Amino acid sequence: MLRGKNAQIGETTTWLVATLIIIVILSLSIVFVQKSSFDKVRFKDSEFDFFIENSLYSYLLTDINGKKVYKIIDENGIEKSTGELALKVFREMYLRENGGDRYFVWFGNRSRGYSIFGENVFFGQDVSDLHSVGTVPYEIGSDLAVHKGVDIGDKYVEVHAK
Amino acid sequence: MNKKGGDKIISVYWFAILFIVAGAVVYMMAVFYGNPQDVRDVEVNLLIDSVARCIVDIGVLKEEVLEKEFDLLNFCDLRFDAEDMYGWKNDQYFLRVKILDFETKGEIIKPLEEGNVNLEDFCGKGNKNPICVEKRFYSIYLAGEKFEVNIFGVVRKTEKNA
Repeated sequence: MLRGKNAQIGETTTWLVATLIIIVILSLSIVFVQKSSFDKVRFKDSEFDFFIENSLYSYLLTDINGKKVYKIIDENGIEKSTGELALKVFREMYLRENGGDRYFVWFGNRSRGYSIFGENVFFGQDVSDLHSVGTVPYEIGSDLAVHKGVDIGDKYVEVHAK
Repeated sequence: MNKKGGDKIISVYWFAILFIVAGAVVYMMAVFYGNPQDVRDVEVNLLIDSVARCIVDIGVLKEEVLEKEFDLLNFCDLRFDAEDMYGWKNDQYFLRVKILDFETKGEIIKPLEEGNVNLEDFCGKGNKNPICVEKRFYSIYLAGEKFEVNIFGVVRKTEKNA
C-alpha cells in the first residue's frame, strides 16, 4: 500500500513539474510576442538617398565665381570655396533637419578603391565606415546610412550620412 | 480500479493542458496581428519623396515652381482623397513646400500649402496624433540662384493606424 502511494506521489510530481514547464514556456512566449509585436512601420527606402543625392548634384552644378563646382574640384580638389559650400550644404543643413536626427554627415573625395578613411580639413576624418559599400541606403545597427558618390575626372567625391 | 481512476484524471489533465496551450496560441496570434500597423511614417515619407522628385530635375529646381499660379497637386499629379471611412472628409493630409534663399533663409515665394493646415498643430504629440516629417535639400535654379527646399508633410489617419 505504501509502495503504491510512493508511486502515486512520484507520478504526480512528474506531472506537476511538466505542467510548470509548459506554463513557463507559454508565459515566456506570450511575453516575447507582446514585446516583439511591432505597431509602427518605419520608412527605410531609397527616398533618404534622393535628398542627399539631389543636394550633391545641385552642389556640383553650383556656380562659384562663374565656375561650376565640379570643374573646380576636377582642377583643384576640394579647396576653400568648394569646401565651405559643402559644409553649408551637407552638414549645416542636414543637421538641422527633423531636430538634428542625422548626426553624421561627411563629404570629401578620394581615389576609387582606396580603403582607408577619407579626411579633409572641412569635415575631418570620415569615421562612418561607409566607403566600401555601394550607393544605396543600408543599415548599420539601428541607423540608416547613406553613401552617394560621383566620379569627377580622376576623382571620386562622396557624401556619407547616417 | 485505482489505475482506471488515475487514467481519468490524466485525461482531464491533458484536456486542461490542451485548452491552456490552445488559448495561449490564440492569445499570441491576437496580440501579434490584432494591433493595427502604423504605416503613416511610410506614407508621409513617400508623399514628401514624390513632391521632391516632382519639383526638381537632376539638382535644378523646375521653372514652374516659382510661377505665381503654380498648382502643386496638379503639377505633381497628387490627390489628397482619403479612404471613405471613419467620417474622413479628405482632410487627412497636409503638405507645405518652402523655397528658401540658401544664404539668408528668407522665403523666395509664399510657401506652397495643400491639405488640412490644422493637422500641423498636433505634430510631436505622440503616436495617437498625426505623423509629421520634414525634409530638406539643396537646390539651384537656372540663373544660378541657390535654394534650400524644405518639404513638410503630415498624415493623420489616426483611427486606422494608431
